[in-house]
Amino acid sequence: MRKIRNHPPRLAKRLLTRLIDYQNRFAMNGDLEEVFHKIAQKKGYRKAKRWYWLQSLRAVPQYIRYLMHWNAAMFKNYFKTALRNLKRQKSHSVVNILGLSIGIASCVLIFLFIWDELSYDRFHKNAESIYAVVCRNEFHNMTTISGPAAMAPIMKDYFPEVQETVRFKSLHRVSVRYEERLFNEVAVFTDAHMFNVFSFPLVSGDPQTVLQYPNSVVLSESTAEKYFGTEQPLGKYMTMVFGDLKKEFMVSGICRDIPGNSTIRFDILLNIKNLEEIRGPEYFSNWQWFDTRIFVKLFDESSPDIVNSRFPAFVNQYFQDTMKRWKDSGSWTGEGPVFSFSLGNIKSLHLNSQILGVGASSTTKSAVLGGIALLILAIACINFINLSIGRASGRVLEVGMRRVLGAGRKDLMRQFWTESLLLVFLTVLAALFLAALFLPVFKQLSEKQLNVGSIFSLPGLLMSFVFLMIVATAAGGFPGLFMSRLQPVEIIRGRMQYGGKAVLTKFLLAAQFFLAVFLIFITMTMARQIKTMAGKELGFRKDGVLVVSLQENNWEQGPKTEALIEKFRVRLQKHKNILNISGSTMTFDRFAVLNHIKVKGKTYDVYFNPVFYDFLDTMGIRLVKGRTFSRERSSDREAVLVNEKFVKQYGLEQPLSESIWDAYDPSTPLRIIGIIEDYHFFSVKQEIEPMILHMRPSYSKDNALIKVTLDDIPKRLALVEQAWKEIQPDKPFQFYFLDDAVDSAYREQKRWFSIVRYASILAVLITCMGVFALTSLSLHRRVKEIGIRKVLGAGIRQIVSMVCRDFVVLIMVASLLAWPLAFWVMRRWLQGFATRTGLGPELFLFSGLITLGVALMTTGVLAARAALRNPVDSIRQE
Amino acid sequence: MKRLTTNEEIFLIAIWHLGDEAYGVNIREQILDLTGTELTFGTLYNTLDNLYKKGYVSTRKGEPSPQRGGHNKVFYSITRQGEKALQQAHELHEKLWKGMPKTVFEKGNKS
Repeated sequence: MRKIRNHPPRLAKRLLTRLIDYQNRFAMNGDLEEVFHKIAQKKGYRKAKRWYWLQSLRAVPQYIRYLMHWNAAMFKNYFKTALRNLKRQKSHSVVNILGLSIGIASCVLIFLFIWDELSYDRFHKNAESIYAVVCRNEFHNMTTISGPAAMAPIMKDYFPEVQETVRFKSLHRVSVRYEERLFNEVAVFTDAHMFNVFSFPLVSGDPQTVLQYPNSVVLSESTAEKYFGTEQPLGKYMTMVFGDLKKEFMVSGICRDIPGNSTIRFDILLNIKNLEEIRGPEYFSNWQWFDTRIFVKLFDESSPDIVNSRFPAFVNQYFQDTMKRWKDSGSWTGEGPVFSFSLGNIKSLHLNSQILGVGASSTTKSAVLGGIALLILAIACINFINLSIGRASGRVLEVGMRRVLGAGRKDLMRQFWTESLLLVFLTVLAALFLAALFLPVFKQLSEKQLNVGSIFSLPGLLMSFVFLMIVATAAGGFPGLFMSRLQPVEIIRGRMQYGGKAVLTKFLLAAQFFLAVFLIFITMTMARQIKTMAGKELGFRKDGVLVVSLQENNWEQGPKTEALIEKFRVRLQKHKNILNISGSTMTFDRFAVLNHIKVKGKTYDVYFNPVFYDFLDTMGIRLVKGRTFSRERSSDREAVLVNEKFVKQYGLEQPLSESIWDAYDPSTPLRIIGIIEDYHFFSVKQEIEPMILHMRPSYSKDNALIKVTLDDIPKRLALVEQAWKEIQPDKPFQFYFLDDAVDSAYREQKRWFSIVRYASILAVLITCMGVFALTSLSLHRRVKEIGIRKVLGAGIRQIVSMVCRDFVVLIMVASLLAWPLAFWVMRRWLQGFATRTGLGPELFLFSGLITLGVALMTTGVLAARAALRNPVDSIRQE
Repeated sequence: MKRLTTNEEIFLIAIWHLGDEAYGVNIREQILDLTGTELTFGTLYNTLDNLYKKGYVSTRKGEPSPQRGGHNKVFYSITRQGEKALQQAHELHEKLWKGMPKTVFEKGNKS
């Protein structure tokens, strides 16, 4: 017989054998081989092999269909068992699903927050090629998006990479009127081609021409509604007052409200050409005022690096005068240029905490929140895993049965995985529902415009799906792994798995307690810190001080503002409920005036607050030395008061005989006539800085301060408003109370505190649920043991302490590990505050005790119930 | 008894022609000769399985051979029931075609 050297391809044959075996058709295999040889004899082996391959590949679809059929059958069985298990242990199912869904819901919310943070400014079609001109000032040690308006057109010529430049300049306190509706607004001025570069969709109006004319105005939808209600706004005229200038603008377009995740914000948009009239023609030629935000659009293929590398030369060429002025005034003596420019991509602005006023939120914040979310999720997952293991060990008989009937390890793992997938799926549904339910609360906490829709959007659903798979795999994987490793013999013999050496369960429990102690510690520290800050002596009396904004734009409106304050005085002085009237530009934590001040021949940047007579009385600030401003002495207009910190910082030995100079107007020396006690003009988070109070006539006093009696605030407010209407009929009455401003300065801390507080409450709650479920599981299995112990004379106390002992040890270990970490984290956090609370031993004690107490209460109740049972019942039970 | 499908009819006729030599490869070739269509092995064995389930054919294991990579052949033969069904199909055909003029189709084709 001829020896066969050529076989059908091995791989194809193996594949085919595998496929065919499933269908029990060994004959076919032989047939195919026979035909293979026939073809080989006729047409050669290559053809034959090809034919054979084709045959085997053809079998694949059939095989897949077959597999799916059987898997579906098994899945149905798994599904049924899972549902029966859920039903049988209702309370555990509830704990499982609820606990994990709370965890996932909080995660979803926090990830929405992070998603929003990361999505900043990505909605612009040209986002890749839009850059902000970022200015770094070495003297002020500040990084901002700013530059002189004159710079933009020059840049376009100087850098061939720059395709277009867009300027934004906002003016605050513009009174805008349409018929009787009068409000103060922020007006934003920009170049007419802005809409071509940025993607702010217009509801009506053509982006090419909408800002073409100087008297065009574009409103956001909500602003249009505020002024026009149901009227059609297009073509209507609005009156705007900028300082002394009154102008009419015609509504030429309405744009969609600016999305929450946009750095550039506006409600009223005007053509930048108007600034020539409002700010004077030098606005467009001046190279000293760094007051305009400039954005550039590069050509698509251009790199910002080239522009960045040419910026120093650019500065040398165009900013010579500006540099010279810095040098001449003596304020900048350092090496190199005092400022430098660079381009920052618009997408990266928000996450850059260096940039003032834009990087409102930093990546750390997102990271911390994300970390908290993961902590809660971890706790919930641990519950889920623990309970799955606990419950699975109650199902050893089922597992044993399945093994005896031929289930392999893989099958068991698949079963547990399927089961946990089902559970997790239900959980995710519940979680999405919960997340939608709590979104409004979270929106308030996070002060963000998040919407329900974004949970159900594509990325949201995708994220949920990823969650689903990860959690299901983790939660189902462990019990699966654990159960499938058991030997059937052991199982049938009925060896108990829980209560013995459940190392994994104990480890996970300890991890949960660790997180709980950690979070409680942090929450308590934060609460204490906020209390300390709120209770801190401010150095002035905040109650009953009404701050009325005088709404003058220019800082050189001194005489005008003084006249307004005087008018208030004339009208209100005689009223017995009005205690004091004064004026000041800086109030609390809102607006600061820094000025170059020469002290003993050196120039410093010092807070330079323009005030009016009676300032100290109105604010309740104590004078330490010297005297305050007096109406009788006209020379006091060129005199100043300084705070104690000023004296200390600049080392004045005889402060009352010293003078200082205003570097912008060095003609007259400013005599120090008094020293005031340090008071907090910024949040107590910050240290008190040196400050100068002065009464130079030219500087505008932005606010009138009116101290009223506290008995009937609304009445006093009405009185002041009436006076305002008589003094300034053209402008809206704008006011706030000083104590509100003080409170809102802690808002950031309070917000953080409430987020962390919610997180730790959730964490403790979920942990507690887990402990509850685990204890009841183990007690259920130890019913007989407890019964026998009782018969042998154990009391309730012994039994309860026996059950609880494990937890006490675990919590002690967890606390010992959590304390150092929490201590370290909180110490770092507190370093950001000037006024800080101590980290006393009671924090350690309480964080441990609370966890212990909650855990013991849960287990104790269950244990007591088990211990109270009549042993006759529990032992008889089979 | 249910009537045979055309496919089943063709299979049974092929097996009948082959007599003792009716196994997978031969049946497939026989069908190719008879009808001009080359069946895949999947279709072949699906139909054979069906015939077996309905009791029209019986199987018998043959000897393995090196040509077949050591796999056994499975021979098929028609059962009594199968013969009966084939008979019935034949009668039905005769009855149906009786009196049909051969020119029917030619006419149809022309127009």
